[in-house]
Amino acid sequence: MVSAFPPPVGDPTSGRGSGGLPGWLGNVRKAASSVFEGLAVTMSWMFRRPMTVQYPDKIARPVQEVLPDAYRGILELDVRLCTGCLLCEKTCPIQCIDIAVEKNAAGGRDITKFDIDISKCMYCGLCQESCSFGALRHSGEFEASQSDRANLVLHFVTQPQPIARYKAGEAPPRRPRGSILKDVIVGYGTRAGKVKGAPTPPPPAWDKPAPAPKPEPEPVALPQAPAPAPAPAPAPAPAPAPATPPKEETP
Amino acid sequence: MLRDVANWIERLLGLDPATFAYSWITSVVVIGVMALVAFVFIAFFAGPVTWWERRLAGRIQSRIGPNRVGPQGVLQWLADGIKCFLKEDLIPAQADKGLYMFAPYLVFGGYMATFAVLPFGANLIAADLDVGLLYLLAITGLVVIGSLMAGWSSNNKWALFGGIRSAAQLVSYEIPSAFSLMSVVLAAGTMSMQGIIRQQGAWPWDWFVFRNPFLFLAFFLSLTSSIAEGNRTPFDLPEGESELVAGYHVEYSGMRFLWFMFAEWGNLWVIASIATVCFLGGWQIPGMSPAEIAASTGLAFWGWQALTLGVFVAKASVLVAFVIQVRWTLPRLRVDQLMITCWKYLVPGALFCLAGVLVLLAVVPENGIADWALRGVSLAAGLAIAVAYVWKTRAAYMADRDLYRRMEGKELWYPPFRLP
Amino acid sequence: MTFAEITQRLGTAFPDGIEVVEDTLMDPAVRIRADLAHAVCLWLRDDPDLHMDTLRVITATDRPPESIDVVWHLLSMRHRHTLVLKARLPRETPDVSTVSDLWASANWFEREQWDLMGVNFTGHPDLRRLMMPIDWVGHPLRKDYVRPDSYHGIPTSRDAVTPVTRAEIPRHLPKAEPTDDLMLINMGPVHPATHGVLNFLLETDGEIVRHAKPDVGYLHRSIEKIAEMNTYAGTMPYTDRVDYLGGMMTNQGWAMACERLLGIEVPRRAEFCRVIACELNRIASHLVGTGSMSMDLGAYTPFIHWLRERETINDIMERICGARLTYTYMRIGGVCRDIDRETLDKISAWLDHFEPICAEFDRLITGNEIFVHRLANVAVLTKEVALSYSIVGPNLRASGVKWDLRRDEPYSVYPELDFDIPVGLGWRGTVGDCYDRLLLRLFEIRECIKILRQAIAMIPDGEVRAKVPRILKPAANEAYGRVEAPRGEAGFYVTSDGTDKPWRVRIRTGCFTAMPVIEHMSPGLMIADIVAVIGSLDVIAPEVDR
Ligand code: SF4
Ligand code: SF4
Repeated sequence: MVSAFPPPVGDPTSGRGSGGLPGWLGNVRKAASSVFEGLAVTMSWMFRRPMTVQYPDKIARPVQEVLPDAYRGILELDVRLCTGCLLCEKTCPIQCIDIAVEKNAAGGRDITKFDIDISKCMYCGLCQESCSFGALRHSGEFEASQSDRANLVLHFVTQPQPIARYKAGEAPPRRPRGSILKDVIVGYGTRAGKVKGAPTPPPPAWDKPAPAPKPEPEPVALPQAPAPAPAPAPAPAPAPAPATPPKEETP
Repeated sequence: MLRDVANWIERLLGLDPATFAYSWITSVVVIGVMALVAFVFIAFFAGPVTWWERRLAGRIQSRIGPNRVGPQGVLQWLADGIKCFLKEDLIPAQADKGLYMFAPYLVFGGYMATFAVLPFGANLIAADLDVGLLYLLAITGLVVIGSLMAGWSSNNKWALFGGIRSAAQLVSYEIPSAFSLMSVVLAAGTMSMQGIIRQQGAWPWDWFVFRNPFLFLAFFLSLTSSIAEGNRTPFDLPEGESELVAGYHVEYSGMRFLWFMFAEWGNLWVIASIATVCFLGGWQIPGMSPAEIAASTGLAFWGWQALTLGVFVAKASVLVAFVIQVRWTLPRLRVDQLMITCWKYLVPGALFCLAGVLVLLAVVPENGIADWALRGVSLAAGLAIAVAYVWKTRAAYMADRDLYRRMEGKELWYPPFRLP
Repeated sequence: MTFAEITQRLGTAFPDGIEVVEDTLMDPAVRIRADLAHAVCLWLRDDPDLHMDTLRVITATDRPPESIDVVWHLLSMRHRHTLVLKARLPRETPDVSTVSDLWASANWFEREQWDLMGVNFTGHPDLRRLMMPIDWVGHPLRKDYVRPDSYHGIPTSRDAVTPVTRAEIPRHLPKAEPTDDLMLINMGPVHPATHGVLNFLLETDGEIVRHAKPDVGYLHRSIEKIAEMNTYAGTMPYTDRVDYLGGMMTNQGWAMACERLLGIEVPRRAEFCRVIACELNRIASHLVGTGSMSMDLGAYTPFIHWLRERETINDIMERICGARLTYTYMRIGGVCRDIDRETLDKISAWLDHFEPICAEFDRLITGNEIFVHRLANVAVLTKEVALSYSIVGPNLRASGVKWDLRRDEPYSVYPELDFDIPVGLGWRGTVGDCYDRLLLRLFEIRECIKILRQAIAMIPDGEVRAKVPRILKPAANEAYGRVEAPRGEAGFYVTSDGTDKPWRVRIRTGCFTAMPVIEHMSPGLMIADIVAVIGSLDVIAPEVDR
């Protein structure tokens, strides 16, 4: 196979017009042969597999599932793990995390607000690293287009949530990656273009594991904190029953 | 012919064409209807080829290309057309309104008029002029005026550049184009399109391209210069996207923009058709002489017409695909290099071919041993090129095959007929 | 020549010129008397033993209430020694003589420092604003700068924005009068050939360009100012945005500068992770650079093929760091994630596949005669001009100067790796023409492949992140982190003041100096050549503006 590369160093006839009939013919020959080489390469691509991935519909598995674990998608908070330390809020270079923690009647503390503005967020991963409790994680989710900019602020807490207290190593297992966002992103699973108007955000359904038919096994293990009686902590989402039925697994 | 149809209609209406006072009305109606038919005909040639080009370009660039509108995206061109129809027709405030609005029609008209002399089948030709080839070369001059007009009237410096480049380019490349076609005219002894086709045979060794080495060369020169006349890469300077944004039609939008695009892709067929007619034997069917086709009647006649149309379109399609492939392979020339290519390489080359054909005509008797030897040489050259091409293509494929499989875990083989 | 010798000679030549010899964490620095700046620079440049032929960067640092420091980083390409000059100017009247008559690169550096810091370089031929609009008031990098509420009636804060109604938009701009039968054309700010938002004001005579004036600042995001308001670690994501095609290198430059300030030792495995990530990124950047250049010249297919290969790199990057473009991979003291075995195998498999594709690209476009003729002998950048304009990276090497920070100011584990540094040889024309610049990048891709293969074989086990305190508070000092980015030097000059935020950050990028050289090369080129020049210098707008 004649490769045009590497070219001869300092070839005097190329690059500038050379005089005389031999130069003229040489130019014609070079032009013709290099065009010929190029055409052969492009022709070979007629028989080679295209790279195109026909996102979103003609693919074997949803992209979210094939993304590597390292992928830094939309942030996701497992509120059961959050200790309200505010480190993530302080770490974020653009202050797109907004947390509010208040004292509650039982003497503990409640998280009353945990908002992440995903339109501002630059998915840098600094907050995830600063959260030593594993509450804040990047998910593999990236589809969150909205018809209203306000919907891009994700509210991970809509009612005051008592802050869980647990010893290191006793943390409850985290919810599966991506499962929390299903409830938080407005109109999740529908194509954004098809969402008419902006449906009201569904109330969080922490107590009901969204996709799984069987009840989640572990939430009972949660309030093992030394604190005397912080109520059965994460369960009581006083059931304004989910306005939308649990979404199917695949879009 | 026009008058014949008009007379026929008048007779159909029970009027006497000889005495009917308002015969101009029928003429106008007939012209209108025929223009419409021609337009639809052209649309069906120019439209799908945009889809085809994008599909081919897609595969060349390891993509798929449009495949959503209609089965495999074949209706993409209709969707695009409708979209353009619905878009706002912007006219820059400081444009020269009249010229600006008229220019696209001139460009489109220039191309549409060429279809009049293109012989799509044994009898499928609007007007078989005696000076068909000359007409063809002349009528494309309209395009120069149109694009210059568009470039000037837009009152945009980039458009002006595009217009002027276009004028310079088209006028220059007319010359090598005409010269290389003149070699064919010499060999054929006629300028009529059908005449040129009838002078060739159906088999490759009867085609002008393989008649002798000079015509073989002239084929490539002619193809190159008509690609240049059609403003296609590597000669797309008037529209050079990365330099002139979009060249002379940078300000156009909506329907008017569509006219330019129509002309561009319709022209693809013009390029291919000229080469098919002049070098590749036109619509000739092996084993069937033109005289026999002309002699047939009734259903057989129309059958032959359809068959010849098929042959013609098939040949032209191969060339269209080739021109498309060239576009997606090569970079663009610079203005001065464009002129150098024309005046220092193509024009002398075409003249050389012309002289060569002239000498051969005078020296070599037709169907003599020398004539067949020349045909053999040209045919061998063509075959050699084809074999080298296949071989190189395969080499490029094989270089990647195993490594690709190792990397992706999939086979590299994905032939063009496999649909996504 | 060592620093001591240089200062000694300087002291002899200018007995009362040196005020202090500063001990910083960057190249050795001397502070000179401000009024001698020009004389000292002239002497440094012309003395045959010193021969400071390159001015790398000019920085001004605001030190309220009394002074503004101006810092010149000098380099002698011939003798391979460096020197940093400093001068302290009174804050009220920060006047210092220009050195733009000594080094061409000073022109834009001084304009920028005047624009952002208000240092008045007396004698500068064209001291206009560079980044800010020409009628902007104030110098934004000064510590006491107050942001105006509005500019021409447009509010500067996001919350105050109200939609502009149609009637308020002026219908026609006044027409510029043509001069000397030349045509004035704006190439940009939105033009297919200007990668990013750039403007060239072309004066053309037909197709021939008489003069091309670059106009930058459309993408000025004031990352230097943002860094001053952010923590050391929090600035890392912003460095991705300095050069969006070489985010790994800008990450590394910043990390290195901070590590020098803090005296942090990076674990060995982390250094290898950095090298692997950087070299992959370099390939990706060169793929885009050479690909988009061929697209600018009208050949789309090579570009798409290169993007396809880059896509695989992006997938690998996604596995390495989680992002495809804005990597934020490095951390001060290491990297954020380890590279696992599977990813390393993927890289190896891709490299095997990529090598024949390189050859295929050469058959498709590099050897194409049209392409060669478009580029060879066009816009020749000679060695002298390149040094005077302080061109760095592949563009400098294409002009025949063997200068690569990976070799000449070694960092990370590059000294242990075996690779060549290609230099321009005038392959199809003259040394330093567009074709050399293109080809040099293609050769560099091959060197990257070599480096990657070695690094994958050599990578040791261990930690990927040193233990660093959560809040970083380096003592007041200065450090300079330089890495060889795809477009030349990515330099971060950090001044700390003992708090958790940097006092001043100066970012020096390769494109910033490559931009004015277009103005130098433009006369006599054709419009199509300008496109080729922009492509061959691989100029991207965000890196110019930062
Ligand atoms: S990913 Fe970065 S920008 Fe986004 S919230 Fe976390 S720290 Fe802030
Ligand atoms: S998410 Fe993590 S870092 Fe943020 S407040 Fe909760 S526990 Fe702290």
